Amino acid sequence: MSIVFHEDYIPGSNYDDHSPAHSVKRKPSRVTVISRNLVPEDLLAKASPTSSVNRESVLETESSLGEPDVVLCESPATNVRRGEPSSSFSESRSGSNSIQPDDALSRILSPIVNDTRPSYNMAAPSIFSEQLSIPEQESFHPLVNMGLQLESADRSADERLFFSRKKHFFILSSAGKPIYSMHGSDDIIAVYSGVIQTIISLFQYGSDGGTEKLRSVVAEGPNGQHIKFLFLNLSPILLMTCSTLGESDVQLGQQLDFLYNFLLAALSKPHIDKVFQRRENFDLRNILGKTDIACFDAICNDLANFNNPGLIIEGLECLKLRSSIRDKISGILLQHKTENLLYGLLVAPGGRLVDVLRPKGQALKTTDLQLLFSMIYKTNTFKSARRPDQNDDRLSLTQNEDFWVPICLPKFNPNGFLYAFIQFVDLKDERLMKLHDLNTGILDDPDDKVGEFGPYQGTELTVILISAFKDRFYEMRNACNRIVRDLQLCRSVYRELYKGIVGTQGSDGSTGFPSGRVSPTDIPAPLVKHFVFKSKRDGQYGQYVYSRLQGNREELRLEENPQMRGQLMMIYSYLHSKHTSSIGMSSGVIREPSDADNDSPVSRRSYLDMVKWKVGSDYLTGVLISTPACDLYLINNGGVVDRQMLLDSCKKIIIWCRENERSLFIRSGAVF
Amino acid sequence: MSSPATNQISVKLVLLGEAAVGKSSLVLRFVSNDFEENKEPTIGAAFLTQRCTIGDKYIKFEIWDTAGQERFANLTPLYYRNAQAALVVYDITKPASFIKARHWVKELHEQASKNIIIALVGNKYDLTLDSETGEEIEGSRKVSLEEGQNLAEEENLLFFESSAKTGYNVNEMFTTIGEKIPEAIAKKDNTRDQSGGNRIDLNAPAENDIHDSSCSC
Repeated sequence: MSIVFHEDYIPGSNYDDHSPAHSVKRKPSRVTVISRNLVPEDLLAKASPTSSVNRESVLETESSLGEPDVVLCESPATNVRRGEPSSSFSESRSGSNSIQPDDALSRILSPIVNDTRPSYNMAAPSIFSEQLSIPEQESFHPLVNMGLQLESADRSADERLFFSRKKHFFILSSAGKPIYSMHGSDDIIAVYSGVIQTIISLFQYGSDGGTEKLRSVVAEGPNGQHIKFLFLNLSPILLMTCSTLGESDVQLGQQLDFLYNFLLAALSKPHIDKVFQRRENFDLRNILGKTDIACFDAICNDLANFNNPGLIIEGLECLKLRSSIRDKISGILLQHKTENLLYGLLVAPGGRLVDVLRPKGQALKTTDLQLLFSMIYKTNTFKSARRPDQNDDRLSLTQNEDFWVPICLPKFNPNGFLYAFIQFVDLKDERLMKLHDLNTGILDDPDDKVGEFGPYQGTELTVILISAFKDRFYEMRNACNRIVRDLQLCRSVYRELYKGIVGTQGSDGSTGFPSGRVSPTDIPAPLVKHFVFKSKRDGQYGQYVYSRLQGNREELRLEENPQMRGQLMMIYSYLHSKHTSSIGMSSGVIREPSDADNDSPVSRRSYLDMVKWKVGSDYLTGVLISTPACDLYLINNGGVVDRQMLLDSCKKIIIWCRENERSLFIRSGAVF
Repeated sequence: MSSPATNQISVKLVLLGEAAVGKSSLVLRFVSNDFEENKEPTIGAAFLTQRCTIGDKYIKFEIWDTAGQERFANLTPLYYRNAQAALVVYDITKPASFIKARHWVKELHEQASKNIIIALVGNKYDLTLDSETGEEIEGSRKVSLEEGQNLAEEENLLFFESSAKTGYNVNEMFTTIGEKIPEAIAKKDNTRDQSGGNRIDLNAPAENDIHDSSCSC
């Protein structure tokens, strides 16, 4: 086991030769110095797996190396460090400070790290060995199989299953009482909650009286893959994740932060503090309900399966809509704004923003909206059986019901609740479709038509009106009804929303793909299979465009397939993790996703990364271009890659998105 | 569909009871004549409306389906404060839910409008019956019919045992409440809580549902 000093590095390009645009500058390395004697000597003993620990001391200081910026083109990652290694550590040639693994730690970790039972197999997706060879017959159409196995939360008492999971999330109290675990029965998690709490306090209360924070541990699994453990101590709440998916510390930190924020959203900070002040070993599960656990499960599933692009890209997706229509919608929202209405949101299926009503200078935070959307779209809380009479077990958002939900938006104010009025309005309404001359053929055989668009994503527009007052339900409801009436009766608005969400209208009476998403063929950008363009310019949120797949109808049907989406996002996540590794960790503070982007040093530089994978006989290239104004994630799929052509396509996408930003993004929304 | 607003009576009705006793399922059965096996728990509260004709009266039920979960409990006064009717629901196979029902009845008598019509509802009647023979399964029922009846008599409540799954007694409880309502409405203004009148908007005329108004276009 080796202790590695905390440092920043930018991994070298894995691409064969250096792109001219590849002018990533190494930022001055920040090195965190570990104070002496933090690991008692007697802890240093034998242990089989190689693991490294990244820690930060509370007392430590960050120092800049003062090196001139280095143009990064060498590979692999250079390890630069400074500071006096403490006597317990001996420096190894490879640049990492290695110590003998400590007995206590390895014993604690042993069930996880040292498990050598043959059944133990932490499945690592093969993406992270970049020259992987997967038998061709396993190719996942239309994208090559990158080895992503979908995994979902369970309460299984089977320990072997528990250890075979590629990703875990734990939430526990400072007293070591479990609050939530993605996997495992109560018996299993009771044990490991205790273990996690012990590990954290081992570092928190050092033998010399000093305190330090354990940040992350990297262990090598039996199959040579890396298992990263990341800890977050937000007393009275502790969180830990372990992952084989190759995320950076920053990414994992953000994931834990998101889970923590959901806990705040459900209970609010004062409530949590109060119950633990009263009784330190309070079991928080007593006040969490089934709906909360369901939402934790949904969030964890998304994180383990790369199935929530917003959490990876750090932004919100918007519905593509003609800007004149969006302006009209803003007008309607403003017209019906009532006295106690704080925020208004119109949202398309899947959590795509249509428009926002907000007070001047007070945008909602990305994280808060992601939490709200996870609750609404990722759980079944607001859903009911779509067609109960026809044995259709698919669920859709419940209509004919209005919801009044207390929610704490932690980035807005962790100390209080807001009240959200939520109504779902189906745009596939026969009377309105007839009124506005839309093809009603789609109504006759909904199942077949739905099949054309891939798995059912829904045709409901969500209206969310947020008030600070719990007794303003009827005021919100009246406002909502007026807004909905105007949206439905304004011909151009209704028709455009319909086309964007339900489907475009062919002159022959057919219904085509909804226009709310961009396709690479609209641009056109040759060689591009899929892209995500994130705009950082438009203020409040990181808003992004998630493109359709470029491909035939057959392929497009897979668009909403979780495996398909997971594969795409896994590649983007990998590119993002390399990028965030270059940011490093700011001392103990999880960076606020996107909101703080403008100030972080990395966003002031341009960054380009191109990674090429060989899968069977196929090649796949992933590109990330990051500039102060935008990020472009892109996937090329095909045998021979003309690099210049691919870069030209990147340019075209960026220019196209810039030219069309008024229809792709919400600029300011309806501001009052 | 023309609005029968002239002689339409609005009845604000609130459902209270422990988590998972079947409040939302009773509403779903009443409003949509439907049942979902694994209904998700309610978060916060849901608001539904249902119009029906009882005798010669048009009644529009405005239903507050509250979350049974403890952490939303501090919001419930908001929903029952100006309600004209309440269904206090328990699960006849769960004794704890009956105890909770007692608490709700007590709270309603203390805090709600004086003329509120309260129905005590023992739900999940279907669970006590063998689906094939129709006979009662021994030991499945944990709250006896008499216990429910006694509480109802003591506290002057309507009483039903019901099953949202089979529909048993569901329409009956709403109809009975609908029949009893006019007297309560007539007296309502005298007993209204004046202090809260400025802030609580529960008596504001609710607009017609958009689903109805949109048909006029």
